[in-house]
Amino acid sequence: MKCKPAILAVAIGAALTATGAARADEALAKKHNCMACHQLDKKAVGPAYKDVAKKYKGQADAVAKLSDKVKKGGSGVWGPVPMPPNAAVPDADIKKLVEWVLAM
Amino acid sequence: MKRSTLAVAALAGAMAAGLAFAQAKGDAAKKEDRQPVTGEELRYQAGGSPLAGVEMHQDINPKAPPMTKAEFERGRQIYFERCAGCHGVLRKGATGKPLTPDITLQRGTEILKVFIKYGTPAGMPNWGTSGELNDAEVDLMARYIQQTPPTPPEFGMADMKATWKVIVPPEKRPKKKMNNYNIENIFSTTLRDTGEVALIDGDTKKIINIVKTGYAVHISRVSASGRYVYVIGRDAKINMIDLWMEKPDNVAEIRVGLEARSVDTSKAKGYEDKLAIAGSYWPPQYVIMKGDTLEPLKIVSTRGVTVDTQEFHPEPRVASIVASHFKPEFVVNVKETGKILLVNYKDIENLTVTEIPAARFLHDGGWDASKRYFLVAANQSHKIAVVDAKEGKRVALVDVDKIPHPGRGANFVHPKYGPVWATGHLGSEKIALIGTDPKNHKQYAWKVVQMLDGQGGGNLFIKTHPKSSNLYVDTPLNPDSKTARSVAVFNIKDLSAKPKILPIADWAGIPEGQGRIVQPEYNKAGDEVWFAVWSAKDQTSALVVVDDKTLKPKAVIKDPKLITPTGHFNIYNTQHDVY
Repeated sequence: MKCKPAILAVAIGAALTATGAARADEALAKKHNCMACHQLDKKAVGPAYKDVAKKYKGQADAVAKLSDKVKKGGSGVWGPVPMPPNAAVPDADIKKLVEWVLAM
Repeated sequence: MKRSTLAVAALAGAMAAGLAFAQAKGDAAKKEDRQPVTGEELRYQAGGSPLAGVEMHQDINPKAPPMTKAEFERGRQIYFERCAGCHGVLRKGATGKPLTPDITLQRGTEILKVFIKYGTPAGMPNWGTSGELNDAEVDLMARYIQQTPPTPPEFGMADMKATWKVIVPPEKRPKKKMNNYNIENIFSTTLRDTGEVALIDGDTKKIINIVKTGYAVHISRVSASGRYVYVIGRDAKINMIDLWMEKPDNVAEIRVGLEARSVDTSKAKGYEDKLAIAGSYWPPQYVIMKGDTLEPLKIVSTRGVTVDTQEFHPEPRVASIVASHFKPEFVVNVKETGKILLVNYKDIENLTVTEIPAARFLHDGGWDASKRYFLVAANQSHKIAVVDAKEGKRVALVDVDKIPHPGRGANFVHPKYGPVWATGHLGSEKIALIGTDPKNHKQYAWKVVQMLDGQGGGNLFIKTHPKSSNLYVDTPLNPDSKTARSVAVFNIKDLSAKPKILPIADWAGIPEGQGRIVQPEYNKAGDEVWFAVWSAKDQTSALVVVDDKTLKPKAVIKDPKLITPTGHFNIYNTQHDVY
């Protein structure tokens, strides 16, 4: 009984951190122009991130595969509009962004 | 320092919201949320600008991807032919998003190419996949819009004076009417692609004269006396035609800028035929001229601050102008700032301008039947602004449907709601009827009292006449050729009934797939309605006259000289603003 508030506080703390991290990654996505074409839960010029996460769910090589697509560009998976290459985005940022998308 | 950083951040923020369109959350983002542009709107907005041929200053931005001079010139040409209508001359954005280098450089060539080639659901057309631009041109345009936008030259008093010509000075003009035409029933018809207007005798349906004018004359306006016709081309050239001459022809001309749309003349008591006014797209300004010679007297810039966010805008274009019949005032509608200017011409030296806030982006409009109220479309806000010209203030902002395009609108007495003013829409099949009688029908005033369903989107003009019970609605920009080739007619006495469809192009014998029906226009008596059947330059066009009582064709006017007829204006109805 007595420990309940503490657990609650921890839970809230964790939730806050999670939201905070998601926000940071969204800011990173904005910084690298991702949000010019993608939205979280709606198809725009590119597919919704939630749909991307669903498609690659459970695939072990998803992070490597998608990181490569972000870096070099790709086409054909989601319709005729290609993903342009993003050679200028640092590899570490790409990895962070792909992991963020796949976690949705 | 802090302020400028903030401004840049705000601009970049707006852009991000714009490109990612319904990015959704904040209120600011919501405002940017738009539906895709329709084919109708595209055909309307993406018309070529005469600025494509104008030499411009350009400084090379070292951060922008390299381009040769020839590539830059080609990009500039394509930009003014395809893009400037929506994104603006200086790329500050209007119907389309801003495309200034601070934004485009950040996006980079690859992303910009995707937008240009495939379009966006937010309204950018798919120039590449539609076949309008090839991959090399898409790449060229992606690089072009990262360069600093070139600025077209200004056009001041010296430039105007250099183009000003009085062909027949006032003292050499006829002292009385020298012809036998019933000039009140003459029609001034734009021949779009040849840079001419045809003056047509409304009684005999014969061409009186083909008068050389500017390119793609946008409108004809008639002086208060009914003697002079003023026309303005897209290239900002004004021609003044004297209808008293044995063969009516030009008596004066002037260029007032590089691109323009609007002209009118003073109509208040004591000022008949005294002054003319023209508003231009570039430079963003209006000029007041002498009514009998077009001598430019005063130029006023419309550059200024927008109505909503109160930010400076460098190119607020003059969209339309009308003249008050009661007060010595011109009503000047400024597109990008969303402001209506009441310009009092009693003392043009010490000019009084009343600035009325409306909404972005103002377009065209007309008077109500009493001519006290002026109704103007803010077409990207999907609103009609109503101004009380007597009191000099806005009385309402009325929500209508997608992209209203009233032309001058249509006034009639509705069996239930009393006097109404009607507008069609570029973006939908709806026709909105707005109550205009705050005195006797107060509960309906400035409200949409009824929506009618026309044939489809792509409507430009709507027309009736005080003596008629028919309401005509054209759809020249509708992508369906059958719809574009016909006109819908509503019975004002029974608006619940479906409209009759008149196959005007068929009546004119114009082959299928050609011809778009533009602008119903009544004769003086109000018992005939004239339509232009607008075909391509190398195809046959026509004018069709319909009997307003029987809705049957009465005459078809065809002539090898009638090339690309579009708008046409009856002298009496234009002089007295009967619509």
